Amino acid sequence: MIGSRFIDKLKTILGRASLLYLTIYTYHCNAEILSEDLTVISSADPQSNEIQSFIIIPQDQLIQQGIKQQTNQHIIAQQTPFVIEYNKKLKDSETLQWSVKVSSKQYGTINLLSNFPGNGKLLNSGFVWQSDYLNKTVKNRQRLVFRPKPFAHQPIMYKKGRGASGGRRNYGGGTTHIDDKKYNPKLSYTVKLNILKSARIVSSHKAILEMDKKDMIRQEYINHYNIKRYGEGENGNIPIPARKEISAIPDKPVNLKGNPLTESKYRLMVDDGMLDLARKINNVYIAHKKKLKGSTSFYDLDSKKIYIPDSNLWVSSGWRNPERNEWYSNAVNGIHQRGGAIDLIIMAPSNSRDSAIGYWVLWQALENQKKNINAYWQLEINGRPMTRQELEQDIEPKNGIPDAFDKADHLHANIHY
Amino acid sequence: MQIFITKLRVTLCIALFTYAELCSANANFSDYFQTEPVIKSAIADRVTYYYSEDIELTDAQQKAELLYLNSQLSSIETIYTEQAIYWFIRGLNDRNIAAYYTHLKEQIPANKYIKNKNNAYKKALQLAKTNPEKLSAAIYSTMKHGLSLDLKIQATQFELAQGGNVDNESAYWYLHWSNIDQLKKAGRQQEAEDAYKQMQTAMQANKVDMSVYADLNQQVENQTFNASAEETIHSPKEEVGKNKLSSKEVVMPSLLILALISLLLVTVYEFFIKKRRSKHKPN
Repeated sequence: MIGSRFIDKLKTILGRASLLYLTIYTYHCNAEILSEDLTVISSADPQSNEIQSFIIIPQDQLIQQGIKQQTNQHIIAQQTPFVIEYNKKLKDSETLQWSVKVSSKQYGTINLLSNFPGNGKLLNSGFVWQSDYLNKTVKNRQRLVFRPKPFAHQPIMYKKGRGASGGRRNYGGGTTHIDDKKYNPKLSYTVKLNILKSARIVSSHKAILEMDKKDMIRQEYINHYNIKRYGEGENGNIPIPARKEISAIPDKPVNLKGNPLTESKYRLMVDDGMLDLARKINNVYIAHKKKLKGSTSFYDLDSKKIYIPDSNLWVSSGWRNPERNEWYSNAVNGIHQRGGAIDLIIMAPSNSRDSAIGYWVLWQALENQKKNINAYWQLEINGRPMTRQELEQDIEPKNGIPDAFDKADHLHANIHY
Repeated sequence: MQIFITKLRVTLCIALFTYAELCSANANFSDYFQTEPVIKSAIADRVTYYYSEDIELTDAQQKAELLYLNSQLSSIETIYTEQAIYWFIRGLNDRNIAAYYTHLKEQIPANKYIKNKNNAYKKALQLAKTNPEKLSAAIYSTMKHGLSLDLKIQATQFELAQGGNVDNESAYWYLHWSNIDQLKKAGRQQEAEDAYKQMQTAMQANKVDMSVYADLNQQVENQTFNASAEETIHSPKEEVGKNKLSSKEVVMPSLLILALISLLLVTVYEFFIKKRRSKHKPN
């Protein structure tokens, strides 16, 4: 009897405690939810603006937008300042306090355009700026305007070569990760507005301005625009893709092994004819291999009949985001960034006889169908195209196969630009 | 006087040519091979340029350039004889000279310089053996073509240890496959199996997307552990070479047999003629 009473009381206490906890929790959560009382302008691009995303364009720099061959290029609009406005009427007795938190410490500070007094401080988690309490005498206190700090490109950190311990270099940045603080951070600004009356918060409002993946990709192009590789040589001039030029990754042609059409972790890419080119190359390779297997007319330079291995083609690289390109490629203006180039490997141990024959068959297939394919291709070794001599001579090793095919590490092909 | 003028002309031509070459030699050794050349960089750059670019020079100009570089490298041999990188550059220039003679279809000097190249690369690899970091992945990748299998394995393994030298991630895993393939060819089964395990460990450490590499891994595994896989993948050409006679090899014995038959027929004919003559001979 006593036991059941005790249990009932316990139930009541627990029930009330849960209710109290829920109330407090809900109250705090409500304070954190995004406010509909704030209107946000984050970007000149309507699509970016709609989701409060943005790109950061350096001031006084004219950047071309429109990356695909068929797209009309135009100069990208100058950076729109971020404008966050409280859209309800304020009472004279109410004061405001704005704060901005930047997600990345490295790209921390902001350029405040509103003439509000306040202080900024750098924390481990990022940069925080907070205004003083703004009373009715502060002009336009309902509208906070600021610009993000521009990104800085640091070419030297991409330099190729061995790692610090002399072993394998730990390739970083956009190669294996996105949203890497050092290379391509997903930058976001959390803007909070507290409305106070008699030093007591009466309402709190929050807006988050955050790059989505498309804008992160576009930002990479901006960060690498007009840069020199390792700080030397010619300047890059790859235009910035418009949002509509960035799309989901299509499926590879059947029988084409290896990576998807991009190794980027964004799950998005730019395709400017690369998929079509990959399909054509794969088809002519398969057809030519079949033809040679069925005939007796493929001989090496020593007039010995060549056995045709049944190696597939392997996609090693398709579209590269600029971060990846700077890590892996020697070409600052590499066409891989335009979505118009593809790298293919013969699926056999590199520099083996099967690999060499595979590249020879592939080369013949492409040369025979030059008009139909209507593209450019080259065999590469250590990041350079083969010389004419290497395509003709057989000295390294002397095995009846031209050196270019023995030494090739991949075939690069791209559409004509 | 006439001799003096001729000499002067030749000297001026060489000077002009050397100057022109220095201007055009824009391939940078350190950029291409990702390490410092140790020797005078102008020489290393010119050797690199000749190796990596299409050369638009007349045969005579090419010869002058190559022999000039050769003499420059010979003159510093005693200073740098213990430097692996010197022997690599020396070998690279020998390769360039071999390519030049091959272009002229002069096989004897071409073979001589190929041999020189292989010896120079062998020396570079020997000198780098205790400290492979003396040379870069790009250098190992350049040297391995045309060396004996043991040296090729050594160069490949040093290249692998430095992360490979190709501008895409896939090529690194293909280099692992190449290492396994070569070990199998050399009959070093246990090492091939160890190399396969190392490859798998490295793939896991690098968080490789195994769904992308499933086909490749299957082929590598088959080749590593299945004796017949090695044959399927690598030997057909060599078997063709070993088992089937080349056209020359087939023609030569046929001619010999034909000659023997002809000789026999002639002997038989002579025998009959002699016999007939002896019949008609007056006693």
